[in-house]
Amino acid sequence: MSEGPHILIAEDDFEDRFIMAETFGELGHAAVIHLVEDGTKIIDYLAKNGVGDIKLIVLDLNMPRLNGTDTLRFLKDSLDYKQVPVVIFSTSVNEIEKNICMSLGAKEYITKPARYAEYVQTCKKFYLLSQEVPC
Amino acid sequence: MNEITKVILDNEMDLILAHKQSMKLAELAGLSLGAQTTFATAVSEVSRNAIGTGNAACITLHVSDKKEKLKFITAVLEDKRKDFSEAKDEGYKYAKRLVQNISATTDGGTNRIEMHYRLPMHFRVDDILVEKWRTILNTDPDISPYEEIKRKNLQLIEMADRLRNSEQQYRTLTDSLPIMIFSMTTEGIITYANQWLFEYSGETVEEINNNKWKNIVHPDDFGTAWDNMAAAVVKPVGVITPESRLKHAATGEYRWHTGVMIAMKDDAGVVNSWNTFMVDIHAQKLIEDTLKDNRQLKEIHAELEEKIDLLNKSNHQLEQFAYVASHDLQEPLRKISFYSDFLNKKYGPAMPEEATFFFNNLINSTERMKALIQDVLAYSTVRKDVVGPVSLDDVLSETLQDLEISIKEKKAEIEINELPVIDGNARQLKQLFENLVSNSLKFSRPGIIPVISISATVTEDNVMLSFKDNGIGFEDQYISRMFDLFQRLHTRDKYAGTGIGLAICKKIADLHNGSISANGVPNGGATFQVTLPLYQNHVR
Repeated sequence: MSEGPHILIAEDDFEDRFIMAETFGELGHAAVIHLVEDGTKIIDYLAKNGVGDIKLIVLDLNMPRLNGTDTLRFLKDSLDYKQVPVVIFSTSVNEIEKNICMSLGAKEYITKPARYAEYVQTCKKFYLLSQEVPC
Repeated sequence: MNEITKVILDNEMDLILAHKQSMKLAELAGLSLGAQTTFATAVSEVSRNAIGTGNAACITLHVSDKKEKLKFITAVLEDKRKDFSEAKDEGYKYAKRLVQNISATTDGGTNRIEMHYRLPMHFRVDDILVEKWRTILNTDPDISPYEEIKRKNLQLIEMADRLRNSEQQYRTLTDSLPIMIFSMTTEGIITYANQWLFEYSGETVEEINNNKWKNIVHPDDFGTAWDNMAAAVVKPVGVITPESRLKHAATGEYRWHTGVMIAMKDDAGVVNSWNTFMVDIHAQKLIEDTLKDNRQLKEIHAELEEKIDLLNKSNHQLEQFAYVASHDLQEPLRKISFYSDFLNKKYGPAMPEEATFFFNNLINSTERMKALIQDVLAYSTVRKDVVGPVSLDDVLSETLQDLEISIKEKKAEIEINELPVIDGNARQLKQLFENLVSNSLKFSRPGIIPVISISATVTEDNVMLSFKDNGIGFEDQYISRMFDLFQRLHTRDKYAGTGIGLAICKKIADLHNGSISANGVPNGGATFQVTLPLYQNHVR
């Protein structure tokens, strides 16, 4: 059983979820990823399982029910979850949105790439981030 | 009663005297001229029939005693007419209507007529007053009737003179009024005109009649004016003439006039002439026309504002559409790119070489589409933005910094000159500079070091920026389409790019109320000129 870092990912588009799973799969290393549909599902998961081995949370911005920004705000306001690093992963290149997310406490803001090669690089980056010791 | 004075009535002259004394007494009593005349007339009327030899008529004038409550002046006629009768005497009957109290008695052959004229309540009689009146009425020198008539004559002459003066003043007034006053027969012939008509038109009455006003009335108004005249004279009442232009002889200028024609009738009630007044309304007419123009202008202005509003809304909607469309279009493209890559990677080794070639083409097309969409997005996001003072020197140095790698790569030489500070949007101006400089770098001649020089000419209101290079240039025939969207002069295998750079430059120049133009020589370089105003109207 692979005991790598666990990464919790919220993404509403099923194809993007598939792409993530495939790419991580191709990398073949020890990260365990949990894919959920939206912000509410992130909160449900954490409420049910606690932080546990989650080392990184990745949030899409445009999601139904609870979007990325509100989820981020919730996470950083909560005593239990605020120490987990959060990365925003979105198609939007809006500077204003990026600044809001960074000021809310996001660790990084990454634009979704189009090319497979870039996706691979992004997933590697997620893995590296999940291994960082929180300060 | 206190007797004041007496007049023996022998002849007509005495009648005059009696009248005069009565007037004087009434005057002394403080009565108005009208009341004086009334009293004196009453005296005359009763006295008139009493004159004659043998009648021994006389008039005595009195004033009430101081003890009496109501005060009067009184005239008493005494005479010895045998045929006197109250009822038949016209003089008596007339006098009765003039004075407050009258009575007639006949006693022993003597008729006595008493006429009392009331004095105001406040009138006081005392001995001193009575004496004074007696003195005045009895010692006044006798004025002969002849002298009386002479005096009256002088008064009449004086009045006639005054009348003449008044008439003269009136004439001067009417002559100097800037209003034409003239009298016309029913055929339109002028019989009398004031001075002003002559002064204004420069023609005498005779000339005007002979020429039938042809030299005075504006040709366009001539026919109508005479038609109206003909129509007016059949009406029995006055009529307003419509407005017409009359020529002012001194300046040659036609001025708008309007007027009134008033019918003058003879004793039989038949109209025999027309009094006409024409007044200059030129100033009012101009104001009226200006107001009308103003009103029309306002209407047009309002319409324009409405249309501009609609256009702005339409533009805004188009921009929004372009933004949303390009944004939403990018999403599926991303998937296409990814899947193409993924397929290629996963099944590539198992595919024939041809298939890999096709896949690569697929991916390239997708990339191009992405670039196109991004350019459309970039173009649509260029819109009216904040404006303030911008240092073009700073803009240029930032641009060269951003393009540093490219410049080094091409070993390009950039010639910089001093650039001014202008009103504008810094981000957009940087975009403009970047597009032009990067174009110059891209379209350089192979094997020749690119030299790009940027300079400015400043006039009172504008700056003309010049971006000159020694690159491949272009032919004049392309100039008109160069700044259109997605125009490319070269095939895409030779030079990359979607052809939106210059369209964006033009949009930015337009947003700054400026302009852009270009000229080039094939293989002899190109020069791009951007003219921008120094100042913009904006709210700080």
